[in-house]
Amino acid sequence: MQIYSISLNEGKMKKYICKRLGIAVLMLLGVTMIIFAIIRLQPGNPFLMMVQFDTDPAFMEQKLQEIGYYDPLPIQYGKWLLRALHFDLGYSIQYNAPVANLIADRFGNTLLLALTSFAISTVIAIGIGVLSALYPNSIMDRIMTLLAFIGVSIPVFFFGLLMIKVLGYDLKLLPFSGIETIGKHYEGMARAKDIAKHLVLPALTSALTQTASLVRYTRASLLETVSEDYIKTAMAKGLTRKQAIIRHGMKNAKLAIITVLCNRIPDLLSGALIVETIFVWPGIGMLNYQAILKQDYPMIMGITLMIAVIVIICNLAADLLYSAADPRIRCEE
Amino acid sequence: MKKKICMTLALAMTVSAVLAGCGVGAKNEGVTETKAVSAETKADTNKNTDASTDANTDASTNADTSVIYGTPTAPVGTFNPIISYMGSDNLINDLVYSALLDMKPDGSLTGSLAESYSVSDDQKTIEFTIHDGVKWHDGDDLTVDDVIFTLESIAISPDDFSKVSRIEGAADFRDGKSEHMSGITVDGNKITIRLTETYAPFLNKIGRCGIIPKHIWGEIPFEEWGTKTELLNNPIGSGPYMLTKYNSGESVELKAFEDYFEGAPKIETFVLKVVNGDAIAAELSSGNIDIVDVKELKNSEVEDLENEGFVKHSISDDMYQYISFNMRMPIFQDKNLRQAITYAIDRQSILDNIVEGRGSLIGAPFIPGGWAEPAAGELNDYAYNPDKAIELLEASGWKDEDGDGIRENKDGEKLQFTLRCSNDSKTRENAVLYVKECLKKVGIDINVSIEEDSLIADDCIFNHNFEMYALNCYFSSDPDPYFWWHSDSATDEPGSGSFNFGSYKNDDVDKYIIEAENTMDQNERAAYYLKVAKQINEDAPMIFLYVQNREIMTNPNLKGFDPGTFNVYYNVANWEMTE
Repeated sequence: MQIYSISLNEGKMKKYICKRLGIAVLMLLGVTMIIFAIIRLQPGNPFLMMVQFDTDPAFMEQKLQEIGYYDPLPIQYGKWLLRALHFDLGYSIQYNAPVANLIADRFGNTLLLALTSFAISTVIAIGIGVLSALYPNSIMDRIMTLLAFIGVSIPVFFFGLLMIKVLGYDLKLLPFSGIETIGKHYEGMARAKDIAKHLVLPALTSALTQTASLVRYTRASLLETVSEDYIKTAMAKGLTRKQAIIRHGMKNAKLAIITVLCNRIPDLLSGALIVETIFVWPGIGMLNYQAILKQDYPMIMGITLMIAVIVIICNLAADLLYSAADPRIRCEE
Repeated sequence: MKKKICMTLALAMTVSAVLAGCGVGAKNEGVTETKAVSAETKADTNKNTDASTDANTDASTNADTSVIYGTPTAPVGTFNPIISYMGSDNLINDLVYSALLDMKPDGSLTGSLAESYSVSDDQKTIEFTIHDGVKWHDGDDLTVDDVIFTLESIAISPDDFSKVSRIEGAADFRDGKSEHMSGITVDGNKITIRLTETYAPFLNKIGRCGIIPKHIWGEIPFEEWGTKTELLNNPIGSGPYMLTKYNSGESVELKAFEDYFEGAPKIETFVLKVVNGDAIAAELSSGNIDIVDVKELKNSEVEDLENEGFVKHSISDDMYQYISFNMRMPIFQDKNLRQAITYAIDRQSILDNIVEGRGSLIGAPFIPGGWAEPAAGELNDYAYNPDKAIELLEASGWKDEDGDGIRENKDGEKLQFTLRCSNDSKTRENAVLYVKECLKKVGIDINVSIEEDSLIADDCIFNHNFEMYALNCYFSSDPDPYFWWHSDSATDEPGSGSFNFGSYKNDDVDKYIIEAENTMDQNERAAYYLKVAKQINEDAPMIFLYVQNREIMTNPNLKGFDPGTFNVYYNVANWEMTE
């Protein structure tokens, strides 16, 4: 009986994944088409900045011809799509380098920053959320709520500059720009330590706003769970309140928490633009922003594609995690 | 339970695999050193309290010194002076490549790669004598072939052809009709260039272009240069510094070139570091950078830095801010109206209050401090005079009959304009808003529209779709105003752009500009430019708002820094970092 139901589940699971992947491909096409159309609506063209006073007027025309600017939009999109399927994302207009390489170079940095701040904020937020649920309306709870409000309201750039001033400039504790110390070419552990030192300020700044909003979710979700009947039942059975919440309450709050966490990942990976700018962290955020300002179409499309893929993977992962976390979902198909 | 553990482990492993695959940290790109180099360089800042541990450095060699130049715009890696166009890339190109001539801080030219040059009596032939024994960073010798190759590459580059267009045979060469430009001849280490006509700015244009190595770029067709990312990011030049590491978006590291033909630079390491515009003061103060532009900082911040001991160097900015009338519109053909508007604006107040006094006013498009600047007192300074403005307006029939505060003429046309301003400078935005107030007082209604840079470029520059607009205009390193003020530089059909945006056309100005181009004598040119200045000043087709000072602050230990507006790196090989 046991074995039979597992294989049934696996069969359903496979079908489910296939269906989701199919939808995912359609979504990718839709997203890239829309973004392509939108960025082409921008006035101007990528070469406006290149034109100087003694430039031959025909120069810009020629450059635009080269990138196929005058082809009808659907054809341009089609060409891009065809190359993308061969993993060729084209050449960046401003960097004169393959888009795929530029993104790959910087993606690791954004990933590092994203994961670190994600980890910090998650740990803190869940910790605070659990504590608030355990001791609702205590003084500590109220203070935490107040801090959460403040955290959500402070603009990220302000907090970043504050960190630079206090920790970087006044106290001279930590470096506040770049990812590695210039001029020193460390290897191995020394390099890891150097990067870690540079990572502290950006990660903390990025974690702040995330923590603040996440705390409110975890707290609300846990409080709701805590007032459920089954907690009372568990306590009636002999568990202390604390044990009841942690053992039973968390399981149910998990779903809400997974939703929030999986929603945040695409945000993080598309690059915390402001944090990266303030701390001159060479990541995807800055790359994307510069590309949009300079109308570097191949770069914009490359990054859009990447973000779209990440979002889809995250959604899929979220669904899979749901079914792993909650048996009820598995059997509902 | 087991399933959960497995899934978590799987997730963790995937993540670490992705991390390892993507590569974290600054991307390593550097030229492998072909020559044995002295001891590894060490970053040395003056705020380093561990200075005493540098006991083993020999005081006379400065072997471990470094200078860090901070910039808010990251270079994009196109380190080939013929195809690069970003100012931040040129900051690197100017160190890596040497040029025929060097430019002193006042704008005059002196020999560099060309140890001397002479101009013939008919002013159409120039002879450059190239230094002997110049080497490229990869050890090869630089010869006249490289210089000719560079000139020929400029000729086939679509946007720079005009720089060499006056060399005899240039057009034929570009069109493929001949293998070389007939006007260029070589004799040993002397290159003689014959021009079809005298063109004063030629020396400047050709003299300041970086010379590129034929043995690297000669094999590759010009159209493909833009795709050679490896070569672009790892340039080989003959300049004082060679590029060792390009960290995209973050910094560029360079090392002194021991065999530099003018003597190895005294400072061993040069770093260009990208800094956030808001953290400039903090970076300078902490010793993270040694040189930085502080134009955008407030007076108080600059004073604070000066009090900490940093040195301020003040030179003219390479651009001026202006408001242009669209001279294609009939209403602006009336000189009284244009002059009235100019008189009605209190430009001194803008300079004193909005620019905080850190700049100067000009009456004509010539850079302050340059040799072509009209002498004081020669031009009408249009000092703030609202009464005179009103007098001129009424003389042209603009009166406010209906009492709504806006003047109109007999046909009922109102003095109402839209002034479009690009959003890339807060200072200019504030100036424009103040202009609106000034003009309101004399009965002119201005609707200010702050817009995105590229929109202004598109609409105003290419489609001539504007009434008035505010933007910045660059000074060229040679004062020739042809491309901005000659009637041939104006286009009136939508879709075609060139730099006489307002479409100002005046026969006398045209004549003087051409005459100034036809002589290489600096004094004669200055005399013509004075006439140009006076005419433009009289016609008032443009309101010259202000020229900001470009202030650069440096570490007090940096000696020998002597920047000019168009050559920040003047004398870079002799800069020193004392303790």
